[in-house]
Parts: sequence; structure tokens; C-alpha cells
Amino acid sequence: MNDELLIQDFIAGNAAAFNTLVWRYEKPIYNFTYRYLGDADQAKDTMQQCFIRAFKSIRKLKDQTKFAAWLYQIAANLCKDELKRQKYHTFSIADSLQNDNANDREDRVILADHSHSPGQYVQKEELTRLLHRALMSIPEEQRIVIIMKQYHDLKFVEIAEILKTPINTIKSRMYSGLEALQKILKQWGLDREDLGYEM
Amino acid sequence: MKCEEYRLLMMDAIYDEITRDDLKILKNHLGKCSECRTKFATLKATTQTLAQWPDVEPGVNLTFVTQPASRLGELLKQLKSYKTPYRLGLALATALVLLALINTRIHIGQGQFDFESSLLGQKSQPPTTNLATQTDLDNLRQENYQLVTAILEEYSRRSKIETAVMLDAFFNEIERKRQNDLRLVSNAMAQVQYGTTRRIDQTDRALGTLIQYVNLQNQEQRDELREGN
Repeated sequence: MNDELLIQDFIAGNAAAFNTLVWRYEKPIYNFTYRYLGDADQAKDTMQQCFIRAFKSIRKLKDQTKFAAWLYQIAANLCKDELKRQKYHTFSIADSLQNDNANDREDRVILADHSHSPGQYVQKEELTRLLHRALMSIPEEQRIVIIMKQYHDLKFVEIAEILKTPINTIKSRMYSGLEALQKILKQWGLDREDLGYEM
Repeated sequence: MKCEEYRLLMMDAIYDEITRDDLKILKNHLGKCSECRTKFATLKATTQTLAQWPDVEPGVNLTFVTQPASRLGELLKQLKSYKTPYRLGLALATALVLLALINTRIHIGQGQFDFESSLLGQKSQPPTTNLATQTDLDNLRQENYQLVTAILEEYSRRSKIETAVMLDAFFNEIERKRQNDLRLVSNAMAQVQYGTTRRIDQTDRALGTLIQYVNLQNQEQRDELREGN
């Protein structure tokens, strides 16, 4: 049963239909909030708030075929509010590149300690942690576009609609974000050769 | 086109959203510009690096449970199910009732309840309650005075009754005691009279016997004298 039918079923009085939607989207929404906020507990809380808000206002959703986009929009707004609330410090790319902090050096030292290619020794968890840090290092407006495109496979036009931003601006942010990430990863020694990618 | 203008096409190409024509244009440019070719390759590699970050399970299972709807909610839901003419009729009736309620004047005072209602509003009347304040106060004072007087009179009446009842009981008790005392005195006098009478009778009898004895002695002396003579 597609999202639209489930929504109609829920509005007609079947609460179980909404739970089906929750079970369908809780993993993607959690991963979205987790990558955006960078904290598992905050991500869970935000995901929960997202579904509660959706539960309360689903009757106001005009185009029920765009439930997923609408849900991401709620999640994105909640994440923004959460970051504002916490006054989360997002340092700029320039800061990240110029003011290389002690942890960055430590990461590079760990990788440089091995005589073989560093990529062979980068464990999955370590890579995830570094990617997380790299993502948190770029501006929020670029991060959200990269998360939506890279990990949730949303079309540029959908992202533009969710963020209420022109599509070319979205693509431009995507380009800038990838460029910034590429520089950070290269600085940390995580370029494509280390990870054994083929072009 | 400048190199910067191909950036958007690069994004479309990396994520497979590029049209066939645009892809031809991009490939044509990348074939000529080594800088853009390198940039395109590194950005694509970066996306492949990012793809190494897998999704994780949230570790929570959210389940929504709906509570029974409130009575008001049910009524509203029922209302929504009505056809438009019925809804309009109900809305009009509700509006009229509300209008009547808004234009209802209620007066409570001096133990009386009074109200007036109309759809189009009450004519403005002088605020009698405010103007009659002094009169009301005088009336209240008078009422209070009468009430206090009545209470005092009742208290006095009850006190008198209680005093009369008490005195009556007192007099009854005194009378009862007097009657008792009189009875005792009467009995004592009767006893004294009885004793006196008995003693007088005894004395009479003794005197009679003595007189007979004396008379007998006198007779014997006279007889002896006569015989002696």
C-alpha cells in the first residue's frame, strides 16, 4: 500500500495506517537527523518529534503523494531549530582547513603510522566517524543538501521544494559542499587512492 | 560557457539526473578542459567515499496509539458528515442562539431573578441598579432594622415565657410543700387532741372513783357515829 493510501486510511480513522508509515520512514528519518545533528540521542528525539508533528498535522498535507518530502521538511526544520537551540558551533571550511586542530593531526598520525596504504587500515567505524566529522565541518546549508542527495536519494527538484530554494542554488550548494568535503578528506589523508577507489 | 557554468551539469551527471543533450555538452567540455575533468573525477570519488557511510538502525520502535475522541470531537465529526444545507441550517440556528445569549440581560436582586432576551439587543436603559443605590441601601437598612427588631421581640417573648414557666413551677413547688406542712401540722394536732382527751377521761374516771371512795368513807363514819350514839 503506497503512502497516499495509508494517509487516507489513517484520516478515515485507522490509526494502524500511520504506524505503517512510521515503520516505513523511521530508519531514513533517523539517519537523516543523525547525520544532520551528529548525535544519536538528539537524532532519536528529533525523529520522534518529527513523527508527532506529522501525526498532528497530516490532515493539512495538501499533496499526499509527497508525504516523504513533507516528512523530510519537518525533520529538517526540527534539526535547524535544535541546532539553533543548542547554539551548535559549526565552524567554517576555512577554519577547518587553516586551523587544523589537535584531533585532525591525531587522525592523520594514526593513518600515517602504517607503512602500507592508509586505506587498508581504516576500519569501517573509523571511516564513519571521520566522515561524520567532515560533514559536520561544512556549512549547514551545504550539509543538508548533501545528506538529502547522497543518503536519501532525493531529486534536486525535490530538495529544492523541501528547502524552498531555487534548484540551481541547491546544485551549487551541492557542488560547494562536495568540494569542501573533498578538501577536508584529502587533508586527513582520506583521498580516493587510500580507499582504493577506481575512477 | 565558462568552466563555473559546467558545475551544475557535473552535479546532474554525478547523480544521473542529466539529460542526454546536457551530457553531450559536458563530455565535450571535459574532453577539452583538464582542470574540469580532474574536478569532476575528484568530486565523483568524494561521493563514493561518502557512500561508505552506511545507514544505521534507529534502535527504537515508535508506535502511535489514538485515544478515544472527545464528545465534542465526535459531534464535530458528525457535523462534518452532514450535507452543506444541514450544516448551514445548524450554523444559522447556533448563531441565533448565540446572538440571543449575547443579548440576554440577567438581573438578580432582592431575592428575585429576572432576565430579558432578544435577538437584536436590548434598548439601552438607565443603569437603574447604580442610580437606585441609595434607595436600596435605605431599604436594606430598614429591612435590617425590622429584622433585628423582630429578633429582639421574639427573644423577649421567649424569655417571658421561659420566666413564667419557671415561676409557675416555683409556685407549684412552694404550694406542694405548704400543703405537705399543713398536713403534718394537722396530723400532729389530731394526735395531741386524742392524747389530751384520753388523759382527761382517765382523770375523770380516777376522780369519780375517789369521790365514790370518799362518799363511802363518809357514809361509814356517819353510820358508826349513829351507832355510837
